[in-house]
Amino acid sequence: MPKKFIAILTICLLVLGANILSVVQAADTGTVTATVMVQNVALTVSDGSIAYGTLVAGGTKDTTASGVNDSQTATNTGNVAEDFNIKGADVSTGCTWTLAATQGSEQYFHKFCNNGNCDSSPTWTALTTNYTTLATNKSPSGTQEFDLQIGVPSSTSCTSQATVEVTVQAVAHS
Amino acid sequence: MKLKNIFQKLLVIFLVFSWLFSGYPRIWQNPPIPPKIKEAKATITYFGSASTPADNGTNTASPTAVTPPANMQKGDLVILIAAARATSGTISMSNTGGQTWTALTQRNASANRSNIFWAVFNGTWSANPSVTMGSTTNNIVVMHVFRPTNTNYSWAVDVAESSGTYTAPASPYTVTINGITTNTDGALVFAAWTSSDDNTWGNLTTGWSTPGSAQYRNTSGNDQSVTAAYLIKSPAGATGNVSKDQTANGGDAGTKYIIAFKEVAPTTTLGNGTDPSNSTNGPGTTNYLDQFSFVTNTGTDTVTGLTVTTTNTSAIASMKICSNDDSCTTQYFNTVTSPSGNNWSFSGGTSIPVTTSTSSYRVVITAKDQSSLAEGTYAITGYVSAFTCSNTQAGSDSAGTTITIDNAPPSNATWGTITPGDQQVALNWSNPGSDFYKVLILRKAGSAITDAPTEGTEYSAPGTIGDSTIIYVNNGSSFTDTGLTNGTDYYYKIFAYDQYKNYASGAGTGPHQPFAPSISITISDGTVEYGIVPKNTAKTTLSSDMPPSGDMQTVNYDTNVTVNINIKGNNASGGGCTWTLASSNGADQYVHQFCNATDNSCSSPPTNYTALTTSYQALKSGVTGQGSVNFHLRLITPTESSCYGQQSVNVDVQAVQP
Repeated sequence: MPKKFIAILTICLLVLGANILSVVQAADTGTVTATVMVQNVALTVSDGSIAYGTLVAGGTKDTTASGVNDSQTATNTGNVAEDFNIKGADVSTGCTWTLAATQGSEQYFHKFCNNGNCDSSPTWTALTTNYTTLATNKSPSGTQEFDLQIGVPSSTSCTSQATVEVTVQAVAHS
Repeated sequence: MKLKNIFQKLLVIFLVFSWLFSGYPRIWQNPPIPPKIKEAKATITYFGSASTPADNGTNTASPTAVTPPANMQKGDLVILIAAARATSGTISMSNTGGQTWTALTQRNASANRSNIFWAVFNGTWSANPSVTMGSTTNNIVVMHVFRPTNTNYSWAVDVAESSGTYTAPASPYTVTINGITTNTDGALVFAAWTSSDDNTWGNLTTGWSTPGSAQYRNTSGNDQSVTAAYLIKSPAGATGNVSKDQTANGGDAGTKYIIAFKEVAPTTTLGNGTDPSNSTNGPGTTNYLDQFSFVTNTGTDTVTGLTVTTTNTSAIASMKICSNDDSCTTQYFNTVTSPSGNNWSFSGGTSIPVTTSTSSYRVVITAKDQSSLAEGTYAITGYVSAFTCSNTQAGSDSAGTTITIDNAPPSNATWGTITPGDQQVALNWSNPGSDFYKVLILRKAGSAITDAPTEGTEYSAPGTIGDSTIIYVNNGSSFTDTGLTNGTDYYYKIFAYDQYKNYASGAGTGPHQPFAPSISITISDGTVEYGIVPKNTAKTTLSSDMPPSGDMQTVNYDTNVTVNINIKGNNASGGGCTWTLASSNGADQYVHQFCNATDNSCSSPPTNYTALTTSYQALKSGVTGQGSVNFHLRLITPTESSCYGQQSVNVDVQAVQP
């Protein structure tokens, strides 16, 4: 018997055997392709650090080009449109200064400008310890540049380096 | 011419005698023919007597033996009168002589004690019988022998003894025994007197006879005497008193007896026995139909033939008579297969011996099998209606047992739902409510079934009957016939049968064609974009969450078999991390739910929403043909996620045969 015939026969038998042995349960399937993303509200501020240097009592300084030239940029790093808010804080590190709208004894102000033309025609808005709007409806990866201006107390007992914090907040734009 | 004269003379003589005895015209008193001419009835006869001592002899021995008369025959009645001139002592049989004796009551008169013993002679004296007399003063033993009208007969007491004592009578010294009333025509009435002197006895009452000597006297010192009388009383009735006079040496006290005996014809009695319980069996079975018994009142007999009468005789193939045991250890007569009407006459073979001990026997029948018995139910009874033997016959048998031969099939089973499938046909049916044992189901490919099971035969599956295949034999009500060829027409026929294998005519069904299953589903639109959902927040495919019209999904099915629509979820991935599908959300753990919107309201989640798992669960079961099932989904995001990329939260839908 030719080997070729034997091989074909063997294959047929194997196929037949497989058909007999396998019990196939008829079925059909379908898939609903579904996707979801968890909402992410986030921002970054760069460079996030300002060195105003040494100011005389009652002096002011800003981050514009005519100042320390250190404008800050807030970027929406979330996956939804965001509103950026900004606030200042009393100083408790180095000195003890109170944040206020104007300078005074142990009282300083911190202002921001976000009008897009702060170098030439800045509009300064005083920070408070509560959030105020810095920018609205910033799409993911959208940015908002802003400058800050500080006015140190007119008189102070503190002559050491004071750390003044500014916080930028992102909230989902509604 | 000479012959003609002789003939004429004979004719004249014949006519004259015919006229004389015809009764018309009457020539003598009514009745026309005297009874004595018409009938000569046999009677009991006195055969003989013997005594010790002989009349007027002497004897003081105790026991006192007597030599029986010669030429006695089996069946003779033997009466012994024993009298002792004594004031004490018991009189009893000493040597029976090989017979069985019955004693009457010993009577004790003044210096005269007596008793009477009787026996039915068995044909052989082993010795001369003797009587212990209780004293050795003066003893008399008298034997009287009576012969029955038939030597096969036996004896029994017809009227019990009436005995007693009497005082010395006054002159003329008459001793009267009060008469008795016999029960049987032709009974032998026997009377006896004893006295304490050697009296002679005479003046016997008319109609009575004295057996043997007029008296039996013993003159040994203190004398005594014995005398007797007998009467064959026909017809039965009062005998009247009987008396004798002490005609010599009178005036002595003594004892007296009267008793009646009757002949007993040897009788073989047929009894009913203890019949078996009623029962129902199938054709062809062997059944114990009736019990009967035989017994003789005396001696032995042989039943050489008998007749059993039955009902529903047509259902019986054969009958035999057996000993009273299940295995028919002894068969009597030949087996009968051909009754005459309802009568089965047995003869030949082994006859039935009959004794005085009752023996029982059985009537055993074999019912006809289905092939020779018309459809129906047959209640068979039977009893021995006649038998042949030497003795007089008595008794009867009754048909106390009914054997029911069930040759009636149950009703047909009825088909229920029959569902072809992939290489199979699912069969459902209802069985008959009574007389049901099992069903047998046949299958045949290509054409209707004409085969049928053979009555009385039980089959098993798998097997074949003709061109058909036996696929099922049992008492269930459903069966799935598998291993079939898709596209081939199959026919089925169901036969219900009872425990006696009587098959119903059968109910067919078909054709039924197995087919390859076809199952197809599509899901429209098949896509759900939940979009960006805050953490720990639920979102549905309802229009309220996905305006303006929501995103309800629809499973469209098209199947030629019954299927279940199942659904399952998956762990989420693709967005930079993996969320585990769970029944409650957590960190990197989300919930995905479904709601069957076809059958339920899904508008108020979570009502009617069920959490998906990674295993299939039913969305809708038992659908077939073309149709659709709508469903909504509801997703609850993790409480915390380690990634914010787009996660695939796919849902799989499956249509599958149960």
